[in-house]
Amino acid sequence: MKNTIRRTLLYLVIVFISMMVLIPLSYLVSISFSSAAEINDYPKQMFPSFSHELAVTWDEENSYYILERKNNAGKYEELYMSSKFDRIQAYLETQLNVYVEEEDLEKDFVQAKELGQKIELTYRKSFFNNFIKFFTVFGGAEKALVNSIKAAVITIFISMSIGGLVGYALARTSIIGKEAISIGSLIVRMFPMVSISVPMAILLVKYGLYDSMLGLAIVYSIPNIGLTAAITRGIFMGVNKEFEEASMVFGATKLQTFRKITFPLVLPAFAASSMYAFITAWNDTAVSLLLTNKNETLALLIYKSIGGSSSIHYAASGAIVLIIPALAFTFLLKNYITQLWG
Amino acid sequence: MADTQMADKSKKNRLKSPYLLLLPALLFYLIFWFFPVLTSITESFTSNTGEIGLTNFQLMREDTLFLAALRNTLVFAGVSLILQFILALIVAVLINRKFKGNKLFLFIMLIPMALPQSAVGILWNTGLVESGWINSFLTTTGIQEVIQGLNLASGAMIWKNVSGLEAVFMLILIDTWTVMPSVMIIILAGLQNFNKEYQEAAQVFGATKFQAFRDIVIPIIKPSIVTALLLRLISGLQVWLIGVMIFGFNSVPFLVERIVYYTDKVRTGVNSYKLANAYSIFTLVIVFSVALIFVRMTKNKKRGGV
Amino acid sequence: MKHIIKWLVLVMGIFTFVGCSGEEEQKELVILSDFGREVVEKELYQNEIFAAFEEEHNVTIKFETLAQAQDTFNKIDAEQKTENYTVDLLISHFGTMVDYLNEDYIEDGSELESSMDDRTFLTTFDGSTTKDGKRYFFPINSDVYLSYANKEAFSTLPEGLTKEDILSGQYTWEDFAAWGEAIGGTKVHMKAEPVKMLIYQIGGMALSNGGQFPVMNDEGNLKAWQDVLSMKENIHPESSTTSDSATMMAEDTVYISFELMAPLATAYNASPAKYEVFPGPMGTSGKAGSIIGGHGIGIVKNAPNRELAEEFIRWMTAPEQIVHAALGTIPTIEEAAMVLSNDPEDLVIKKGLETVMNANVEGLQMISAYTSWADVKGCYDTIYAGIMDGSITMDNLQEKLDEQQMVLEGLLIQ
Repeated sequence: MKNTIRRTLLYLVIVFISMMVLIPLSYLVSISFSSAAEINDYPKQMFPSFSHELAVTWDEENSYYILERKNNAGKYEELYMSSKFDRIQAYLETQLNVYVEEEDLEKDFVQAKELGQKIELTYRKSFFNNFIKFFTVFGGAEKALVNSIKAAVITIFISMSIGGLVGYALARTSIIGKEAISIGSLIVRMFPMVSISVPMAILLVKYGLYDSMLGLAIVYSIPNIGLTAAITRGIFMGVNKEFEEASMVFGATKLQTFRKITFPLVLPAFAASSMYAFITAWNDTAVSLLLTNKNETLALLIYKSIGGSSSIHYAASGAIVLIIPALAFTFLLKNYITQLWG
Repeated sequence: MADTQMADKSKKNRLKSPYLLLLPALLFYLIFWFFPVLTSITESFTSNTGEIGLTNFQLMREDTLFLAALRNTLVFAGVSLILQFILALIVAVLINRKFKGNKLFLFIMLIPMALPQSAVGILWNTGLVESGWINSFLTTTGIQEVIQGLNLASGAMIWKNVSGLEAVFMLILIDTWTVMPSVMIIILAGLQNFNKEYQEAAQVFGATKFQAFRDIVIPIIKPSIVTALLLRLISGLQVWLIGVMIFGFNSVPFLVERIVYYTDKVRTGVNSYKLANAYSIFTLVIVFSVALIFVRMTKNKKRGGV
Repeated sequence: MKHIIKWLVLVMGIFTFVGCSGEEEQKELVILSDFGREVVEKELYQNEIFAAFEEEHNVTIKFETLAQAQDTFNKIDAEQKTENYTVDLLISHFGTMVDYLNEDYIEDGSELESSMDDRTFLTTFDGSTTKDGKRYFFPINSDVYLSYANKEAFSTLPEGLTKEDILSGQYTWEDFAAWGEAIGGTKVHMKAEPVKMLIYQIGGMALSNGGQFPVMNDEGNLKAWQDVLSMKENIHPESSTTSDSATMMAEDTVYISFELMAPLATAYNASPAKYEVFPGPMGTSGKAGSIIGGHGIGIVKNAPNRELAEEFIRWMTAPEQIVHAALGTIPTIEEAAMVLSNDPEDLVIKKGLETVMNANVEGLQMISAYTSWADVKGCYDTIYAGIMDGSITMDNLQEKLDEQQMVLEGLLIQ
């Protein structure tokens, strides 16, 4: 009995904490599917909506149609007036994400004129409109996606190779100055990246690496190499030395041992530690803003698209696209993440 | 003959190769970190007229927002550290228990860490405005009515109507939401490696679960905790982006926010470049000192005590 | 171990090669712009201006906007300094043109202008767009301050003020403040975000009182700040963290605002049924006041596609296109001003034009006289912050303004 109560309590706490993460995310997703009219509505929707409830009245005095929309509070709000159907169609498209042919619009609207009263219409939204718009209006989104992948992969590679070597040295060899190395890798994180950006830009140009993914990867690796070294050191130390010794007793060289025994054992944890490098490269905006020109990463593209406050829904849809790979990566590696810091 | 040659070879390998492992890293940092930092240091001690001295630091000191930036940065780093530690510890302990769906819970808790900076900005900017989703949530769930009923507020809250330390606390909460997972992972790893037998042994000897936790578990996972907190401290002292995304420049100053302001926002100002460099070196000194103090503090703690 | 190192270096080398190649070399005309950040604006530009040009000249136009003017400058600056030229055309706000002209980053377009004899550019902006009599930037749109209000706000008008008064511009800043009070709560918007546009709102208010810009402590400016003091309780706090009123008006967070035409048009066109647009309030001079802003297009020095860029300017500034380029603000060619209809979209433009004719207006050509315009803005921010936190009241206002005037004068380049 006591156990059941404690179980239930535990689950309640877990659910409560989970909600603290999931609810804001839900709103963000909802914004990314919202049309322009909905992002200014109140209260904001927690879940995306699929259609709009509209009302049309014919204004005899001014000779135009008045378009109203039911807002989230349940009230009908006046939006737009016009007598021209091409204008109305354009308005529906840009502000409501509703795509209807002019003739169909006319057929629907004219009823208000004929009946002389307010008529109610429901129009379905083009659900993925924001996402499609994002990739068409912001030309270069596909290229930016490829760039982001490139930058991330190169960052992972540099961090893992250089950092991995250091980690191995720290774990398995008897070099002096191990403490100094650990401290050094911390100190490297103490100088703000932004301050390095100006001399770094000039440096990169000198090496011909300005506006390249390799250049970006180098900057992203600066804080990550130290981190990787610390992580891989822990990993290597966690590999049971007896396996290695046994294999060498059986005649394998150090290299063969490494390749056949050690490496496969550490591979999962290695992959998980690449997550940090990936996230640094994938999510960054500040560095790529200063060090690239034509070749932007996807994160930078989205940052640039948060132009005005009235296009927040497009920026949000871009952000969702950006989030998905990082989430997928995290999901795949969640089981291995904790092995890193043991 | 062949045998001794082989033996010599492997001896040589063993002596040289460890340091070779470090060579790439050393070169990398020398070129890509040391040089730029050195440039920044020399720039900060050279005034606009070419003389060596502390003029730039004087300029920095005279900046009206200097003291506020320093105060905000220190408060932010310190308080967020404590808050994030406590929350991360709680969540890590929870995940560590065996229950169905704890992998799913772990994944959910990791999500904020995977969000790009722009997404975080969009999320909280749309949330904190008067007609944002935070107030929407409070209204739709009826919590708003409760709040108004208890006379805690007279209407929808205007979250952004904060300044000074209040604003810093708000940023701490938001930052915690994003950053807590990274602290949590490290602590969780420490917990998972921890052998439950120690705790059970303590309980056999009459300690309560809480005492066992405090006196056995925490000291043993202390290295993990210290690592996690030290990394967080270093990052926390360099906060700026979240403040600028929500409040804009100059409203809630931080040390690195000042650097970005002078590097980016007012590039054409006469003293901008020098001020940016002065602030950079100053920040480095602050981060280093605070880190040092932190490490000293955690080293002196007795094992088994809190 | 050695083998591993060699292997790793080899793979890294391959990646460097891969990383450096594969970046595009495509014939495209690159336009970097401080205007047209909204998705709707980009689309309009694409449909009305770019599409036809792209087809005729068989090029792609890459239209790029960054979050703020400083980012744009940084990018051009970086390109010019590193001799890595990609941007052909630059659309800059009048206020920031001086930065580019001082560094000589824009090509001289005087010949191009004389070759386009079918159009006359308004001379109002020559202070920013020309230098030493030579044409560098071609103005493409111009922006003044108007007012707009949620229709709901008209149901709570103060004593003695009618809707007709407001719509025809026959009302003063005191009336505006009284209106804010009559509505109650914090429904007034102020362009108060630091280092952004407060200076221009106060400037406009001061101009309506016959004051000078940028000056802190003359009579006109004193009156402007006194008006701010009287509105203090009704200004919404989020005014200090958002750069324009469009979202706040759309969300009903604020009801009345004195705003620049471009964001006003964005909000208005999103739901025309929701608002009324009218001239800004009058000041003690009997007229409204406004800082005039706007944008111009210029060819970047060493642009990779120089001739194409010139063709583009020829195309874009033609009377038919320039109305579209204005995107709801005032077209800058005398000939184009005739092309306005009676639709709601053109209503805002008409009101803007009226203001340009009838109000006290001032441009931003003096920016180059100061060491740091951001610091000039800071003087205004300081007074505003003092008013909001209560440290500046009617009693010490003049004194504080005198202080800031000293600071401001100290920023003049000697």
